Amino acid sequence: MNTTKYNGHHVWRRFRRQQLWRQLRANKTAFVSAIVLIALCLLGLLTPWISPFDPTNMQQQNIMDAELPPFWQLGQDRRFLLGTDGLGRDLLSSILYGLKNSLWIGFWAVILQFTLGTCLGLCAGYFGGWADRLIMSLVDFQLTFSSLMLAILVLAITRAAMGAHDYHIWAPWLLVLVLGLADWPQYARTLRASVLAEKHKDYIAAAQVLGYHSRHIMVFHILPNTLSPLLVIATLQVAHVILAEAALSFLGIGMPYANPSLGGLMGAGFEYMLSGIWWIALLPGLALLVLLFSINLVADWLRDALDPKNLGQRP
Amino acid sequence: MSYFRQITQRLLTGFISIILVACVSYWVLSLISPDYVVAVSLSQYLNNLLHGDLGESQFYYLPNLQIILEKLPATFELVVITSLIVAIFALPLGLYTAIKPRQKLARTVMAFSLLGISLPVFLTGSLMVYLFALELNWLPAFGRGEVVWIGSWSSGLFTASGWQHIIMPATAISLSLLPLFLRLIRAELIQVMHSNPVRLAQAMGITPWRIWLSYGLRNATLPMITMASLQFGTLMAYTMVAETLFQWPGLGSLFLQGIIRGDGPLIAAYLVLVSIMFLLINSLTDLAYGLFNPHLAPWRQRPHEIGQHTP
Repeated sequence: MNTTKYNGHHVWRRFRRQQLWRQLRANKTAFVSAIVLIALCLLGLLTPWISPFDPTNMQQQNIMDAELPPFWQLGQDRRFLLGTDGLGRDLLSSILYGLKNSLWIGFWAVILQFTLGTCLGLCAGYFGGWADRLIMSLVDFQLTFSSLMLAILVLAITRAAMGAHDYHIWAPWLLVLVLGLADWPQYARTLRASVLAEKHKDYIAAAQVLGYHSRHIMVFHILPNTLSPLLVIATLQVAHVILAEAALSFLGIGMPYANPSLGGLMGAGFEYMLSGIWWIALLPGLALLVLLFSINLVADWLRDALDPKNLGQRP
Repeated sequence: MSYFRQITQRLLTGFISIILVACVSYWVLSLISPDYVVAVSLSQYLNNLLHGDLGESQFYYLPNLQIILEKLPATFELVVITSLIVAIFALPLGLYTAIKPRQKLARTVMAFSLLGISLPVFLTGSLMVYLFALELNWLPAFGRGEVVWIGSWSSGLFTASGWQHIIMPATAISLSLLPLFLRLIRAELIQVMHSNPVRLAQAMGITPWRIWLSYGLRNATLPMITMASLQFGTLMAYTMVAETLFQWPGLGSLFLQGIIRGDGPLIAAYLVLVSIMFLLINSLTDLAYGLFNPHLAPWRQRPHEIGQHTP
């Protein structure tokens, strides 16, 4: 008997049939934001090759070039398209490196969240009993503390305990670890609910009768049919993690200043803003806003597109 | 389970949680200032804590409790004004976008709410400072302004300067929180509007306003309370960011300064007090569930199940 017939591969099948693609083309806002998002990801990936300077390289910065304005303002310098920051680093390069760091942290933290939340959610829903009770009380516990507050407390204490120098070496990894571990309950909660709805259906019973291992049933039979809401959550979470990382760096407990991030640039630039030098704080902020807005728009569209209620609709 | 037994159980779990948190903060203390831990053992620390002694700051040389209580009013007022702004705008806008989803204005509001979710507090704050404080020179950029002392409570809400100072940080935080609540209220209301009781009420000719308010909003109360209690931590985090940005003399900036100075006892005291605050909020939420819907006995309903409707 062929069970692959039943484990729908819901999302992938629709992707293959180009339904998603057609839906994306039909929605102008989503289409534009998807293009912007892909462009930003490409910029992030290619940063080391396309960036005019390397902001992590102290040799390339000159304090004499500090606080130069962007190209449309008086007193600009042709070498620095978007001006320079307080240390004389090229702002465009810093923003590109910040974009790269934001995307890197967002991607890996969400992979971690997704894996953890999916495993725990599957186990809670499929096995039930004490595993379910244990995992769900963990979910309740973690939901009462917001992930951002938890991350602030944990990272601030780590920074105080390790000292600023050691902390800055480990900062990117710590950020991925803490933001990845802090936000798994949403996946687990959603997945548990869909597993509960799914596990009494006939195809699962068939797989059980055929003697498949429960791990195999969970991963290859249940998961593909419950993947859609998880993908929406994961997309939204990328934005959430990037926002959290920016907030942490802004507070001075995220990425170090030497390794630029969008939030850190804003935090350092704010002091300059009070003396009228607005671009150091506001240009990275604008980049962050465009990144977050495009991710949120794509996630919003994805939620509608993957909603089973809109399944049969032609765009 | 009887109500009395329920309360005793709650108090007991609360007490155990605080003791656990105290142990964790002692461990944190031992990481940050090892020499302090040599002088005070864990049992001594717990004993002091039970007698209301949270230790002495290594930077201010004052009791931590006194320092924290001094900074508490500033943060409390910021949180209250922010919550008021969120409540005043989220309710009517959520109602409007739910009942007239196809109107142009409603769509604009929803688009802006998506923009608001993507706006970090510090970007909104920076833009506001740049626009209103530097360019237009309407509002002060930092600080809390003049305060009035009511006993040992310093309040900025009784002076014009205090209000001028609180407007920008409170608005910056609420612009990030508002979209979350607006979207939740809208989603809940849309769900209620398609339910059978509402259809029956419509068929019976009950006026739309009554349906919206007494069927719609009343049913959205519980999810709103859940959301409010779950977002309390986010509110605290955003307050910390806004306090840093606007140099607001509150708990958040006190904590961050403590971190940078490596002031272990102060950090540990802050941890204990914030955990007690979280516990209180949780208990209040459970109480509110019982008040608004006795049918949903709080001791049977777990937060992760609220807001999930059975079809």
